[in-house]
Amino acid sequence: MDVFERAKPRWCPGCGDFSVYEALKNAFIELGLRPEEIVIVCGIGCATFIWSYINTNALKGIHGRVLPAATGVKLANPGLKVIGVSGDGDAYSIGGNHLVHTARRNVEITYIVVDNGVFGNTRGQPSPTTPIYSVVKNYPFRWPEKPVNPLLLALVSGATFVAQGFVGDVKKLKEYFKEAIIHRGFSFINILSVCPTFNPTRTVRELKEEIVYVEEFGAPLDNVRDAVDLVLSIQGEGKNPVGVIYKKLEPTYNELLKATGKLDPSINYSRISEIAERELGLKMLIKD
Amino acid sequence: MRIAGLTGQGIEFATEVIVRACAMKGLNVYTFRWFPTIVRGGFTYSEIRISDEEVNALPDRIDVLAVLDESGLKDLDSLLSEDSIMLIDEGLSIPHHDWRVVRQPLKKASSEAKSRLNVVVVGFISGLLGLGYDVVSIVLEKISKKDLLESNLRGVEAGYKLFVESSLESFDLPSLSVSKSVVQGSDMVALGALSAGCKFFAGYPITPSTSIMEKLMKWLPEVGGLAVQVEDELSAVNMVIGASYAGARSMTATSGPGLSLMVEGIGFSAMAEIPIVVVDVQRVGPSTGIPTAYEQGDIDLATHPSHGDVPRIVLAPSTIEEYYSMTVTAFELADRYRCPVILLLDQVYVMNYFTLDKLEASRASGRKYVSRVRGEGLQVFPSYSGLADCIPSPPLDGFLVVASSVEHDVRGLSMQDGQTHVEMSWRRLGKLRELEENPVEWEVLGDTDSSEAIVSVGSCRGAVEEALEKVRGSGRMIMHIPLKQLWPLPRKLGETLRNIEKIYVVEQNASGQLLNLISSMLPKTAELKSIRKFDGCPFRPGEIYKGLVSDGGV
Repeated sequence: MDVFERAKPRWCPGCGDFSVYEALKNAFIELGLRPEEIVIVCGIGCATFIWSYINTNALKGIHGRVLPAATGVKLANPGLKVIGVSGDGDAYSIGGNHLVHTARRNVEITYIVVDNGVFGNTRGQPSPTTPIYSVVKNYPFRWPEKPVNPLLLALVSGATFVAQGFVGDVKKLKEYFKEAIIHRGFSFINILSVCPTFNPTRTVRELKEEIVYVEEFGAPLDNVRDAVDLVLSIQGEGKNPVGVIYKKLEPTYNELLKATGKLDPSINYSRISEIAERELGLKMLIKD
Repeated sequence: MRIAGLTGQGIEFATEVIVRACAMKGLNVYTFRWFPTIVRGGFTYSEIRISDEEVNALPDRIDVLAVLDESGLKDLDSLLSEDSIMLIDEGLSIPHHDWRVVRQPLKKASSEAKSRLNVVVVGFISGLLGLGYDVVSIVLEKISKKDLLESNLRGVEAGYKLFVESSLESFDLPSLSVSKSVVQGSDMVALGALSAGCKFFAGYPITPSTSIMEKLMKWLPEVGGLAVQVEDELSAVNMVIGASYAGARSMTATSGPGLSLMVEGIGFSAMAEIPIVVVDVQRVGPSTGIPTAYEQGDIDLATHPSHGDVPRIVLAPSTIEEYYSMTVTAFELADRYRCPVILLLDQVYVMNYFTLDKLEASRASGRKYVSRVRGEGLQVFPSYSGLADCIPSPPLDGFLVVASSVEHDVRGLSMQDGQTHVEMSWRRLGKLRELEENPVEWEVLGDTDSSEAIVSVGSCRGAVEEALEKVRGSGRMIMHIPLKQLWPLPRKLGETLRNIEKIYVVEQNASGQLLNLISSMLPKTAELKSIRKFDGCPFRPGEIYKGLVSDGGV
């Protein structure tokens, strides 16, 4: 048992979340991180149970609000390594708005989205990444909605690190995690995953056949237009790009806000009195 | 006095000049502004009550009305008397009236002086009130935009000249020795947050709470803190929870529509026992309602803010000073009981101008952190057990800190059995019993051994107190409880009212939310009367007085 194990993970047999758990835990170990300096922020969904199994600090939040809560942690104490974990429902449905805004702020957190194309936790409803014309549970027709394109969404929203992982390749997934965690900026990883229980037609074998490693095309790229072109051209052939697609260094939100240290809790009454006097001509009498 | 006209005519600026001139002379003011959401061309007025004594309510009559546009002749009810002076441009037509109308070539003077109508009116009024041209000039120099200063000074001079030529008698307001400071409730809340050691704020613009965010964005960095504007209220409340978990006293501010969105975060804060302060500046609802107008319609939502059994504290300050002191209290209580505190505020105090001599502040205790513990082999810290009066935040030496929105054991780890839920529910709800027995914010005013009592909320206090002065003049004794701790309801409320025969409940909403909230605490034998108003404007003392002397029930 290593230091990052809190409890034996429990997901359905064959669940993609096991791979994410293994890869993330080993990424922490190989980066030499200590559990005390990591905060895992989770939303709602099967993948987010990871906070119960990996032994770090954890903030288990509410559905869709991983990124705001994670941003709050990072702004208050930039010394912490903040890792957000969501499923595709958490990230692209109820929390979709926050992805756009956190990406454009370039908050230095790592956002892991385990994308299995189904609401597994609520027993099998279609998700924002369910392909159009799919046969879905308890719905008499083919699914009428086009899926969200997470990679393009992250790229055009201003994320400075965009990657896609695949649960069938844990070794590479771990490497993407490591690169994402040390990236100075908002690092986003969508993970092609499976739910054998509620989305049985989507299998690891089938996904594997669709994968194209982007290293072959010179990725990571540092130009958004090139990255978008790469994603579109691979997807245009019915394939899925895997790897670190885009990476660029830009000032982080903490840096731009000049919030590079832990917020100091001490109360400076003379400074506050100065503000009252300057802004309002108001005398403050501080009693002891 | 009142200045009325259209938005875009600079009535807000005129108000500020007059208020600041009064404050320089040591006079007290109470102001209220009616304004629409449209930025240009909507009916608006500003009312300024000026006195050498304390003023905490709008007046019952208007002595001076300055009209910048015909459409300003609205909502006057019976506020004008035959002695009231109405200042109006000679070109404007007014309906049949028996008012004392002073027609002046205001527009002509403003174009001759190459200035704006609002400052010409200010010039005339400063003569009429006796504020002094020199005092007004000093104010103009302070608050005018640089490129407008010269034209503003010319306009005021022209208006002042018109007054001198009008041979009207001046009110000759006195000059007191010590000048006063001009503050808005938003200043007081922002200063209160700084004084409580608040270091993080996240918010989303919404009338009438935006100015709190704007002030904190400017002031927090000066004390080592941080304020950010985010994408929506959902983000704001979850961000302050994240920051509080990481160790910073944190706050957000919003209005009713935003509070509706924030309830999910308030439940999260309560469940995970992460302290936050949520400021709600109430406005007219439901839904978008009248965004710019005054109402106390969020009492229901604030006291019952989320699904499940949610420990929460709701405070409603009743004076401008309390906007400062109770903001500090809110942070102290949030940390002490590790739960969300909602500060329920009134638009009238937050957005308008008031005068203060000075601000008395006592030192806040600040957040107490878990320190000097040493875990062995990285256990999860027992955040949710008795010893947790101090608040743990990561990184802790040798311990991990887990906070969770799902039901959990004493360490915060997921534990979803019935027995744990029973135990943890008692823990969460039991925390507030102390506050129920000993409310931190509690005050009984006036005649404590009377057989009649008034319970009021928030800014109604001032108008009630003024009405009571008049009632006392006729020998009637009435006790007044400005209720400041709305949740948990203080037991003292029931005890204090036990032998009261007639109880008046004063509030500004349609359905009597305060009355409903406290009704279980009121003696069954007492006669109840609800005095309420919901036309978007604060109570005037006379309206309360009428309620106290007229018969009839709710």
